[in-house]
Amino acid sequence: MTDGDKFLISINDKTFAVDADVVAAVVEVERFFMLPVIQSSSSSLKPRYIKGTITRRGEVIVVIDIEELFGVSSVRDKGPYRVAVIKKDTSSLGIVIPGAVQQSKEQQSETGASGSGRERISFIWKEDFNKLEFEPSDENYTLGFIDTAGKKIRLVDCQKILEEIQKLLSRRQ
Amino acid sequence: MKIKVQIGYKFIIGFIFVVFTAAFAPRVVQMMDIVEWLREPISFLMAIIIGLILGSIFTRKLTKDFHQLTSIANDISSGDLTRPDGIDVNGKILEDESTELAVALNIMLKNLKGLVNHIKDASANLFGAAETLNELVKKGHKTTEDIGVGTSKIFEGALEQAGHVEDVSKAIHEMAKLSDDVSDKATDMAAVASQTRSRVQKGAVTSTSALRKMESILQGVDFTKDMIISLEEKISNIPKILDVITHISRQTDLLALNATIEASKAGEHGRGFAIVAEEVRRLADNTKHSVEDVTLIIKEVRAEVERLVNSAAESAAFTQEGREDINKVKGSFDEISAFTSEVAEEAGLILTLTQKQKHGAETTVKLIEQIAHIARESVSTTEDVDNVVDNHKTAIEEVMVSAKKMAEVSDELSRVVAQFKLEHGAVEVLSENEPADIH
Repeated sequence: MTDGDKFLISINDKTFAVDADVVAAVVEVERFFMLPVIQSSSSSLKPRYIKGTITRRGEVIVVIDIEELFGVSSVRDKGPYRVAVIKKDTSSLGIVIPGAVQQSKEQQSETGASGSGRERISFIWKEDFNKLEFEPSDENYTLGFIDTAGKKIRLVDCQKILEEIQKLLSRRQ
Repeated sequence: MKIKVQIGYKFIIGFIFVVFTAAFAPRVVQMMDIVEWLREPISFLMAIIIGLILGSIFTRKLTKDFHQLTSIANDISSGDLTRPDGIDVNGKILEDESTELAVALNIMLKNLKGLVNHIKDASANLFGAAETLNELVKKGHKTTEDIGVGTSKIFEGALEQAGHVEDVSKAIHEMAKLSDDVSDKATDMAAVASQTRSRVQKGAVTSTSALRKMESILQGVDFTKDMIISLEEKISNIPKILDVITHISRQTDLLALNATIEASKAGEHGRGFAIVAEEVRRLADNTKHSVEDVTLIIKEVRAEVERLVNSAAESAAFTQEGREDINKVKGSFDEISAFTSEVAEEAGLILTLTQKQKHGAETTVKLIEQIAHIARESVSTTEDVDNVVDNHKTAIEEVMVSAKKMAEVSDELSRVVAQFKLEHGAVEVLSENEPADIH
């Protein structure tokens, strides 16, 4: 974990944070593609949080639903989707930002973090992050929780997710 | 030879003779041998005696004619006119007033005889005339009664006729009044028909104008409909533009988001850029929301335009129906106009006829009034005639009374005339002419 800027993704009433420096970009895609390497009838081989793949600049990126990653099932919209591309070292991961395109006024985010405060995507700048309390956590894929005015934001361990994805891919291959 | 000496002169002559004789009496006595103292009384006595004798002679001589005259006058006064020749005056030499009186009495006697004879004849004729008059008056009285009865009947008939004429006059007046009312109503009807025709013609003109205006409205509605359809087509293009705008705003948002990400990677140096990028994102987001608002508005506008199109179509249909209806109305107005024209003509004819009827009724009223006037005059005349007949009857009755009186007068005259004796044995004339029984 770095103490840099945090990239926040709000899904329903939960907000997830990742290090902003690992976020390569946010892209918009019409649909996800299911490649054979991740296509499986077994739920153990193909977790529900993997939504498919996208390609960015010739690179195939696995897209996950981070909410389902943490055991909360949700109904997803149809495309187009916005996907936050996480790139760390040579690995990439896509985190789908549900409703980012079809976002309505009623579904606007209330994270209290910096940004417009209405979007599903926002930021916590480094200066602000240092003022907030951070509570490390042992939960899977979680580095800890950022306390923002009584609301806790889960700081996601992207490295571990990437590794898990790599494992899955390598297992399929 | 006859000498006329008035009685006065005779008296004077007689007086002179007596006086002369008396004056010679004393001389006679003197010649007689009579005592002296007796001479004067004897002379006086002798003169008286001579005077009385001579006076008596003269008086008798003078009054002898008057006695005759008195006798004749008494006979005449008693109605004895039987003296055939009256007083004989032919033997008298010295005529006097008694002679003239005797001549006058003779003439009066003669005239009285003639008069009495004439009165007798007239009385007899008068009696006959009275009888004839009585008969005639009786007939006239009966005729007058008959006339009176007839006149009464005529009067009653005239009264009844006058009453009938009055009733007829009232009925004709009522009929004339009704005719007036009918004429007035016909006039009103003609005026109303004329007004109706005028209004219907105005209505026809108005409907024609309305039809033209409806054509204009229909063309306007068609034009509006085309405009609305064109507007609908143009509005239908707006969502495409909005999609483009939405897409641009989304891409802008995405671009700004990535710019923010890149700015964060620049550390504190990229904060300003990140803020700008955030503002761009906010702008994009506002754009997106505005597009959404516009989309909603456009959706509503499209719905309204669709309703407008439907409404325009309905309006066009209604207008078309209205045009057809107005065409029908115009046709109806034309028919009504023709009909009202006929009605107006018929009303005019009725008005003419009613005016003629009114004129005829007025003429009839005048004639009936004249008849009523004549009937009233007939009643009046009949009443006058009745009065005249009554008067005539009264006159006849008076004539009857007069005739009776005349008979009585005739009888009385006969009686009176019968008192005059024209010749011996002619007194029975009175008994022959008994008074008539005149009633």
